[in-house]
Amino acid sequence: MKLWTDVASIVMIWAVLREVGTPDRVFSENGEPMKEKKTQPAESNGFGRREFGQRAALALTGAALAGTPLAGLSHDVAVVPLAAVPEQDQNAGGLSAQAQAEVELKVQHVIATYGSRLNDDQKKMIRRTISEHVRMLEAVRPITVGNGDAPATVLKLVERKTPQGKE
Amino acid sequence: MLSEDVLYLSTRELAEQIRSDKISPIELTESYIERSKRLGPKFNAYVTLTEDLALEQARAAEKEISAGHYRGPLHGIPYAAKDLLAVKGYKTTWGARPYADQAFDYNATVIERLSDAGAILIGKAAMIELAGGLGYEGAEASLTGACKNPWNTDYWTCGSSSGSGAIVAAGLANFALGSDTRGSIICPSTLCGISGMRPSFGRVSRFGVMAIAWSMDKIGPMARTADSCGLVLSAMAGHDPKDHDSLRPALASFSYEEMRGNSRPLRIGRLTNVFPYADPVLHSAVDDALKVLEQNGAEVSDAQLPEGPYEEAAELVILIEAASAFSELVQSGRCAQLEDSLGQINGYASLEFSAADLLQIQRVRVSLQEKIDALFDQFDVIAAPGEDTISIPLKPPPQPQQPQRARPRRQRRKPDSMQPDAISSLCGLPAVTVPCQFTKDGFPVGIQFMGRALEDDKVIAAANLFQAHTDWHTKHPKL
Repeated sequence: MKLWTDVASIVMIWAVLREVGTPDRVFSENGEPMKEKKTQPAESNGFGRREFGQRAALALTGAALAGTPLAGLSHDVAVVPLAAVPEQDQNAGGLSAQAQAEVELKVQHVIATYGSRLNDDQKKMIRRTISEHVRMLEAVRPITVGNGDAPATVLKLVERKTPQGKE
Repeated sequence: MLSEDVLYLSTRELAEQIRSDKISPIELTESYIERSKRLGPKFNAYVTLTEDLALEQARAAEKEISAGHYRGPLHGIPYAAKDLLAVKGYKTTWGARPYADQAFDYNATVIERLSDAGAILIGKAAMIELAGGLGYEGAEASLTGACKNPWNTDYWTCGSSSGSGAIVAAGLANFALGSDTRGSIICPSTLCGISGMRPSFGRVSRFGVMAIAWSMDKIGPMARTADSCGLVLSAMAGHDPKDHDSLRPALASFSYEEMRGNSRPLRIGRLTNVFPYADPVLHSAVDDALKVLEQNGAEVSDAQLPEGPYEEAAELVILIEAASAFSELVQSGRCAQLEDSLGQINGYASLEFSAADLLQIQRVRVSLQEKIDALFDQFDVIAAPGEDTISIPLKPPPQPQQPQRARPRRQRRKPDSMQPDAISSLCGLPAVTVPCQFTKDGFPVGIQFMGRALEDDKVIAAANLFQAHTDWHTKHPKL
């Protein structure tokens, strides 16, 4: 199970970080691209195997730490010490210590994953944004729901997309 | 070319002129296109004009009507569609630079349905990039630049159906389609002084429409009158197996003409605990409008939205679903090509939400639905100002930095402020906004009516009653 988690993490991280182009696409009705022309993105995210290995190792370090209880949080997120993470600003004010710790954890994870794409102002904005996200979550999390209270998401059975007799 | 007065007629009035052969669909289409070419750029109203398609549809309509094959009130009526609806043969940019060259080889279901009704598509309306799905801070967050309000071009139309609002307000098309995940039809309709409707969730197909939040996205009409919205909704509504969340046929269908004429007095609840920080002018305009309704048979009494984290739940659902809907854009880094600085980074932050949080929100959402539904045991509709602001300048004075959220321009509100659009959008309720006054500075003010899920007929009935006894909806800017 642990091995699978690690392999899955590598695959996921590779999928996230691999270089992608900017396609001019025409989509068909079933959502498949009919033609695709790849062009180089303005800011290439490409990197070699060596760098991929380094990034994956960094992320897996975080993944290994994710199981460590931190301030009672249940989220599985990477904890990577980063000097580049901007200091906490005043927008975290009003959040509980637990919520602030959650903000910190999430900010660090974003910076670890996407930091190379972000400048200092954007990193500050990430912190403000995540602080706001956590503030909103704090309003919803305490509401008690019972075991039988199902979410507003449903699985719909597959429906015939063409009228009977017209296939 | 037809006169401006004709181009500002309601859909029903125009339809009668077409049906009785007093106006040619070709001449009407050419007139709207000429006006769109002349005035559209002044407001950044369009992404694309579909002139060839429009003229082809107009010629077909004229031929059919002349031959006695009149399809109904949308036959020969020109309209515009927000540029997140797929139209075969034309670009569908989603208002965003990363998708500036995107095209689909099929039509959105609503485009097909309006075509079947004989309506004529004259253009793709400008919009906020990704309809604000990844957040935005200002009117400039669009591939085509800030959309300017025809009532005063120093001010914004609101978003995200910005172009649709400007097009109808400026008389560039008879009606337009917008989309509303949370307020994106109601806000621009209100600020542009037109009538706009968000139908019940699941009633109108989203197939071929860009998704922000699958559990909250709705497509609806923006037009001169609520009656026009009813006519357009009738043509668009109905089950579509291609839309996962489409209601089953018996619920999705909407026959506006059949429900007209219901004479039972409407019970209207005037919401007293919403927009506490709004300009008092907005509240007094609603009070004046409700007096008109009361004088004409409606029963009006105070109502209160039930307490609950509607604002937070609505925002969180949008943030989480949008992060998934645009995950390729975010994870590829192409979100850096978006115009708005918040849109460029918001997706990264939203990817941090957990599945446990999403499920908690969606479970709480059901209980919130039950709470708001109970309110409609007492009222047919509830009423409130269409927006919490009178106008939004394109270049606002500098302000201290505030916490950022999706579509923060409209959300720099006090945290404890009750937002009717949050609750009604979260719970899939129908809503209509119509102009009900103008400020001394000439800005339109709107009243919105919200109803129980699937009681779209009642919100239209309330707005119809108001418009039958007032003429605010006939006003238009001097251009």
